[in-house]
Amino acid sequence: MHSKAVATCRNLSHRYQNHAALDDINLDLQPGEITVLLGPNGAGKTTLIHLLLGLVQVQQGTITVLGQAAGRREARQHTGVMLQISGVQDNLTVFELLQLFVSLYPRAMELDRLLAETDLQSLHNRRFGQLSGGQQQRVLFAIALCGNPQLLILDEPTTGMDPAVRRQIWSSLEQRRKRGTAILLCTHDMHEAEQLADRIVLLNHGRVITHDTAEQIRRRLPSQLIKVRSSIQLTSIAASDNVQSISRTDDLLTIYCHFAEPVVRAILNADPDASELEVTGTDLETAFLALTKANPSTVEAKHE
Amino acid sequence: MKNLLVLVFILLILVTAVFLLPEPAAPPSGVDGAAAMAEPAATASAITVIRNVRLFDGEQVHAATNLLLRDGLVHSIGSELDVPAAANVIDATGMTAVPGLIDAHVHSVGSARADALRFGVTTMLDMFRPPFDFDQMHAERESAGPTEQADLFSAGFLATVAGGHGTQYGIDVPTLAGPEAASEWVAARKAEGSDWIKIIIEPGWGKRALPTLDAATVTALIAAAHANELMAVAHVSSYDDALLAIESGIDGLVHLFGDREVDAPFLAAAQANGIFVVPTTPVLAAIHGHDDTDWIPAHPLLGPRLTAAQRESLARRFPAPDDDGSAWSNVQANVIAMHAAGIPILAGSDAQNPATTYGASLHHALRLLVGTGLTPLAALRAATRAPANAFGLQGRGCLKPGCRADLLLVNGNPLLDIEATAMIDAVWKNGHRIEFKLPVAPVDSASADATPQSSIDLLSAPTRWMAAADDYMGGNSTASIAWVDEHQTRRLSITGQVAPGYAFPYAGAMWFTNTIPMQPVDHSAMTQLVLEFDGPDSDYQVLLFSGANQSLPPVQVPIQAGRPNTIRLDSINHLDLARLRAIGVFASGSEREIKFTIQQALLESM
Amino acid sequence: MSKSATIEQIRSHWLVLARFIECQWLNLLRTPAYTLPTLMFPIMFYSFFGLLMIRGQAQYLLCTFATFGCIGAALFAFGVGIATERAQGWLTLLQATPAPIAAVLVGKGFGAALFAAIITLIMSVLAAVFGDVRMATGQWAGLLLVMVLGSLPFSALGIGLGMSLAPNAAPAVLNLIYLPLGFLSGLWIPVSQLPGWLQDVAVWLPPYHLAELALHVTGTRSGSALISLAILTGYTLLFVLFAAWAWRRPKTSMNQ
Repeated sequence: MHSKAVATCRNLSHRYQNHAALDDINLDLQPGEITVLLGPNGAGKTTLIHLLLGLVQVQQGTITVLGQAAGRREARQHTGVMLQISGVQDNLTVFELLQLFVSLYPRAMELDRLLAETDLQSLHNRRFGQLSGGQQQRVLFAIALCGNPQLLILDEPTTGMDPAVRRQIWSSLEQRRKRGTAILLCTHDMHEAEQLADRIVLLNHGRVITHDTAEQIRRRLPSQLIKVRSSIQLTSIAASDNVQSISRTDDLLTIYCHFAEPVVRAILNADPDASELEVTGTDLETAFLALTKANPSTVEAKHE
Repeated sequence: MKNLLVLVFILLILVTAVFLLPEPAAPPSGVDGAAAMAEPAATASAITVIRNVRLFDGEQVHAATNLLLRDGLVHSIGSELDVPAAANVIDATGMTAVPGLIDAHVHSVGSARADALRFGVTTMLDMFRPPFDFDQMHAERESAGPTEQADLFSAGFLATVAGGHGTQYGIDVPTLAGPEAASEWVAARKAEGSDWIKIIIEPGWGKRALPTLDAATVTALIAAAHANELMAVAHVSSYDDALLAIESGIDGLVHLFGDREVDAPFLAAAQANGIFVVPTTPVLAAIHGHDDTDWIPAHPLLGPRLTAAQRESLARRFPAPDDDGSAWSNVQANVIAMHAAGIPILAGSDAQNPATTYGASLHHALRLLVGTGLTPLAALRAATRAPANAFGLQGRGCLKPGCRADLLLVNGNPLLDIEATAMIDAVWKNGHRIEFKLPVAPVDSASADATPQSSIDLLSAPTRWMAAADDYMGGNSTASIAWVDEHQTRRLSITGQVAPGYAFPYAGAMWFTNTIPMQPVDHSAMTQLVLEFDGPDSDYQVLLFSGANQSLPPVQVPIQAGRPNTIRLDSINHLDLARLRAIGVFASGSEREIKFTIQQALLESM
Repeated sequence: MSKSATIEQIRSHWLVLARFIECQWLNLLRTPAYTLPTLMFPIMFYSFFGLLMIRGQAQYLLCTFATFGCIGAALFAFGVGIATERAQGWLTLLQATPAPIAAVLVGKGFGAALFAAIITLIMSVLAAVFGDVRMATGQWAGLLLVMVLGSLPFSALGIGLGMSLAPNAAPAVLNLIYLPLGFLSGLWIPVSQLPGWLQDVAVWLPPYHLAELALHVTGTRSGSALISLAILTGYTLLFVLFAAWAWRRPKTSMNQ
């Protein structure tokens, strides 16, 4: 498996001054797979992307991209990237911008096909600065695609896009996946992650908490959420394997578990006065919240 | 790509525009020599062959031969020359080629170098000029590229005492107080780029006594010059001073005395010390009453080459001599006696003194030398090989392979008749033939050809005056002018304030030569500016704006209130009277209220 | 590597360079609000000081004000430009692509050189028409060349500053460097008119020596320009090292 990987990280650690941004990361990006990188702000996602692009020097561990050290020209020629940036050359038209980037890559796409794939034909004579936020995102996405990359790194690609355009980008990514592109997608949008992810890497506090296929993760995650007002001792229910996490605000308990029934029974047995009982299923987003909140060190917001 | 093409097009326009920027209109002369250096050297690489020419090579004469000039140098001489196809061939049957003449005593100001070159004088040895442009002077004479100016070597500042001869020209000369100052003084000249040291021994003439250097200082100066590997030459005007100079170790005398005839002890001392002498015959003849220069403007070939300023200078006269007429005959006798004693005689004009001018007066000097009894060959050597040897000028004063292609082609044979040197057919400088065009007359100079005015009253034209102060340049000084007419005299009253704010605060008034401010007018006939004004005793200055373009900084001369200030214009370096633009009278210096009244402002030709 | 592949590679390098130059060109063309003031500022200065107020020094001041203009164009194009693009993420995006750094910088350097050429040329025309300045074609061209090449060291200084300064601080800090440097180097008022101790300062400043080169090439000043050339070369080296250091410096604060 490893030999096929487009990009690999081994024992990767990175520090900014006195705090660890990444701690012993091992990661493989396989061709034809979309790997979704999840994690709260400050989890180390941006650092990981910058390391993969060679924008930041590796301090400890190794990164290989297409058989090269990250950041080598040969690696960059086959990497497409869409970063969260606030501005490009506002005075250039979409066409001129794409023309510039197309000239940089040895296996670049034809401009017409690129415009078609990203649905920018009607905008190609507009200046970047005159576009809406979502339109600008599409141009940046086109820039990422223009070199026909073998590795595509996307940081929050669909922020600010309307649902129709978002679906179009998703389908474009799925096509790339079919053609064997390794895609690393960094997102806050759980729906997007669920739709696209072959694998999910959950990063928190610089560490990989979970790295598995989407299916596996979903299976391992708590599937039910119980909310109830009760004053019972937490220890009486936390003992079970079934319960993933439990938290209390005043007398409101929030419990994530695989199966709700035994937990609800236990609560009601211990505290018949328990009220406002609510049991719901969870999606990936709530599960993700559960996992990151369960880790006590995330209580404090991190600044990098 | 369309955008790139537009860009390339714009770059082309930029480059084209550079070629459309204006070049100097007049042929470079005097002040804009730098432009001449930048001219392409296309004509220099051209090859010139002068066929069937009689050749004086600086030492001897060759009957009909051929001369090939190439790359600014004499390439080869001989009856059988390989003549390249591209060569410009000139048949010079009946003509004589003479090395470019060397004038061994001039004071080069204004357009001197261009003026001299028109008369075949290709090198001049200047005996006193401030060293402000010596770097350029050195660079220009080392170049073998085309130029329209004679090359210049110079003593720089002369060595004299405070108040002595040489300090009267309004130029701030560093003077010496005693022998202990000699070493430092000479080192300073060397650092400035002086080519030799000129020492003034001049106790005065007529009834006028002047302070002068003592023997100890002269000796110390000569020793210091030699220690710095520089020659020392002396200005002397009497037998006694000449002998003092020789005994102090001088290398040459740059005038010749007429107070008495030389005797055997003098000749022996001169021979023993191996000195040379520059009898500045045109100026000595004029001083001693033999000032016949009218033949020069009347000469068919010399006359047309004179500028108005040159004619004016030739027409000027010294005061009538007070000697008994023996002085000139003494000079003549001394020349021939020294020549007979084997002492090298060098031709020099001492232009631009009264009755002399650049270039033309060297032809006069040659005639005067022959008049003393020298052969034409000796006279020609005095203007070629002799000064080159005496001053160590490589490749000058000669026409042999490797020498500079500086030469004069004349009709006839000057070795038989020295007057033939004036029969100029052509002049080459650095292998480049000089066109005999006079400097283009500046705007408004039509009057120059009319009878020259002897004096201009600047106060007679109020519209030419303007108040001027540094508020114009961002300073805080202010000035205003008012005219006071009473008792049939007109005076210009200037009031205002000199205030700090500009680097050199000033306030006063300007007179413009032209009705269009700062446009040049030829005032080369004028020799002095007389200014008289009333006001508190303080700092005042005259600023003289002149030259080829307005960018040239003005010449500054300090003046005093309450007495007539006479400023000799013809001795000021960097002042181009032929292109005078404006004269400013300013209060300067410390902060104060100013009020002064100009009573008299005259430009005069004396 | 086959021969044709190598040729193809070289061709594409030139194409990339041309693209960056084209983009810079379009950018300047489409931002007259930046381009015109940057061009007109030194030209206006020259017109006021060099032609209107200080009469008769048009040629000398042409050299010094052209120097002033070219240094400004180089410092601001690079200094402010890079600081802004760095903050926007544009520079980060380019660094992640195979774009050669040299092409990115040459594109910008082209802008600075073009500004230098236009400023010098417009000033030259003004000097010729209103200041009566006359020079040989070689001297006019020499002035233009000195200005275009002379903008290089200041471009390097601009890169170094642009990489070190926050985008909102960059214009202020650059002005704080640019204007005193121009004054102290005698670009507004000839050095000879500054007080003595300031003259001693001037001879250590790089703009002074660029102006000296301009004065020499136009024949306004005679003698040897080798010392100025040597000192300017030294400064160029220093600024290039500074730029390289600033470019490679690890960026400790990332956007997130």
